[in-house]
Amino acid sequence: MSHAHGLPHNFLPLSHLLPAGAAGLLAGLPEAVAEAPLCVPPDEPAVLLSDVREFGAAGSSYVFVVDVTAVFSLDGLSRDILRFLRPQQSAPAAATEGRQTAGAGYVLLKDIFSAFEAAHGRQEIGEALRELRSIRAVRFSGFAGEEWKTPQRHLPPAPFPQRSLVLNVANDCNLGCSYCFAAQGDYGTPKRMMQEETARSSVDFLLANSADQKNVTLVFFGGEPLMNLGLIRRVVAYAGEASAKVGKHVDFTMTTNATGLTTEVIDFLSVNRIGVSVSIDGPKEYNDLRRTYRNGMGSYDHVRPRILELLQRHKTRPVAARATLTHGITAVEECFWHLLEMGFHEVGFAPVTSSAQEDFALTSEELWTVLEAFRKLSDIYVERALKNEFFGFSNLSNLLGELHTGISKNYPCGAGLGLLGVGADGDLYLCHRFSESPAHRMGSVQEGLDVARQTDFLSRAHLSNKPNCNTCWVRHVCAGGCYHEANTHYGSLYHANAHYCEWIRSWIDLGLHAYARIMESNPDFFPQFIEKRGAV
Amino acid sequence: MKHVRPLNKKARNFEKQLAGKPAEGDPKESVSAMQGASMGCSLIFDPGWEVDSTGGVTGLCQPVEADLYGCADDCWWPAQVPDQLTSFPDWADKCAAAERDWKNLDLLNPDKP
Repeated sequence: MSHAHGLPHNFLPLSHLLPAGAAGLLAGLPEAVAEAPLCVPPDEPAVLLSDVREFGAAGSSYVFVVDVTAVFSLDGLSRDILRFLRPQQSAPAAATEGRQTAGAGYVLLKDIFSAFEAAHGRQEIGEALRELRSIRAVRFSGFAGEEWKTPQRHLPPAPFPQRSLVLNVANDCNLGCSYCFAAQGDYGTPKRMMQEETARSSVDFLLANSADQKNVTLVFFGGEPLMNLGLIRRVVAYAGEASAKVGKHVDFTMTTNATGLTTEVIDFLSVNRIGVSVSIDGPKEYNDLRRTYRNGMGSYDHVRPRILELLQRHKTRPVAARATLTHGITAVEECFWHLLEMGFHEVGFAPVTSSAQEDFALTSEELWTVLEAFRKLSDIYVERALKNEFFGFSNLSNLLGELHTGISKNYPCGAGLGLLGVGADGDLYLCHRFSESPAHRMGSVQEGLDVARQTDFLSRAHLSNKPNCNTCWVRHVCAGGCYHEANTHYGSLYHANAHYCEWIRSWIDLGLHAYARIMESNPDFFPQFIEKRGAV
Repeated sequence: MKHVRPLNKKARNFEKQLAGKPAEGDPKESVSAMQGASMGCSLIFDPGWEVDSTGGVTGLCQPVEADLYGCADDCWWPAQVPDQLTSFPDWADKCAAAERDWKNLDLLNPDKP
């Protein structure tokens, strides 16, 4: 009856709502509904396993409580009780592991006692059960007052403070990377540069809408932002003055292809503490496959000396590399080491799983190859962390940061929430990836945020509206994945990225193991290296 | 806690909350961080009101005595109820449905079983 396990624990079978003798009405209904009594609490005291993920790392046992994204270590008895509660029918098989627990059946309390009484006293068993209940790993039933109802869906408090604006300062790019989501930098619209007035309005909008946030972030994006360097210089100066007046601080970051870097530009970036993320895919043979000029010439030889100078001269902020993984590029470790040896502080990978022209997306097989490489890099990461050294693998640092805090998400990212993209004309978009897309416009920096559209977006994009997610154990970490990828793949940004669920579960599982291993042996690693580091 | 030990910050906040201490960090942030989390009375069939909007009890969706159930969970109600897990497992046996059978709940005297 494992197909019935997908039902919520408090699901009542239809038969309970029908008058006696009407059971025949159920005849034509799907089996899952007719067999649902599995999920109805028995009359006797019983225990129900909540949605949890039990895992082992370095010889110890842990539990990840799904709804609250809390991680606990378990002693032998509490681990054995959780295993005892796991229904046999849904014992984890690799393919269904993500759905193993939701809606599982009740186990009678007396059966738990008799299973463990020989080895542990009643007192101990009761204590362990109470603790498991208090961390929401199990639920009790058959006791008065323990009926549960479905958690309410809460929208974030409105107005939600703005923390970041991504300015599309140049709707143009001097490269013509074939995989670019911005259609070679111009988002399919006429090329244009953001004007100073628009940029100033953006700064004003950010400061005015950041509520009590003391620190806000302005991201220079494009196209290629350095094509509008003059504007960036003026905005940095203006934002510094405007933020000082209201007692706030503006943090600047930029994503660049590095072609426009000169000694003078680098000094400007360094003096103004502008965080730089360089788009580069690895050594020449991989980078030049898709990161080309419009005439097809590869960009590697041109950007390499500029990047080396950047890494040498820009000393006020760590510089990160961001590599895009597309079809045919799965030599992740080779790319990683190449970029780290160039001198980047961190290297992050963005696997492309959907593209308008499908030939750029990684195939499913390639994605698994990428995961194996991530696993090897993660092992090195953990080894280094245990020696209290930082290892610049951004993807894992980001994941560890989230797991360490226990962020429980109902939305995959800050898009439309604390982060918005600003088009060259000042229009606000869900995020920078949706720049110039009228369907995803949310007002403008001049007129203000279109609150009705934002509310509509937030209520539709909420995790509770993604049926693929409601039985998945990583739902509050992943929350359905990137809106832009979903929009490309399914034609709707409200769809969960179901095409890489299995992959993302494996990746988060890997992160949980790494987290437990580091946390047990060197918990000081987190305050030193992770908590102070912003996401890259 | 003896059998489980918190590892991440959220888990530590859990432990603190159970011990009645404030969570880590900005109190406002901790409130929003716990939104949607399965904690507290809001998920339990127990409104916790003592009087209705008229100041009486007739408008309550369950009898005032039902407040007793608030005590059986890790909840806000500061009163003692029998320990159903180990010492008085039968305490609520005659009370299958709170709304209907609450009169069957009886007092217990630990010294006179």
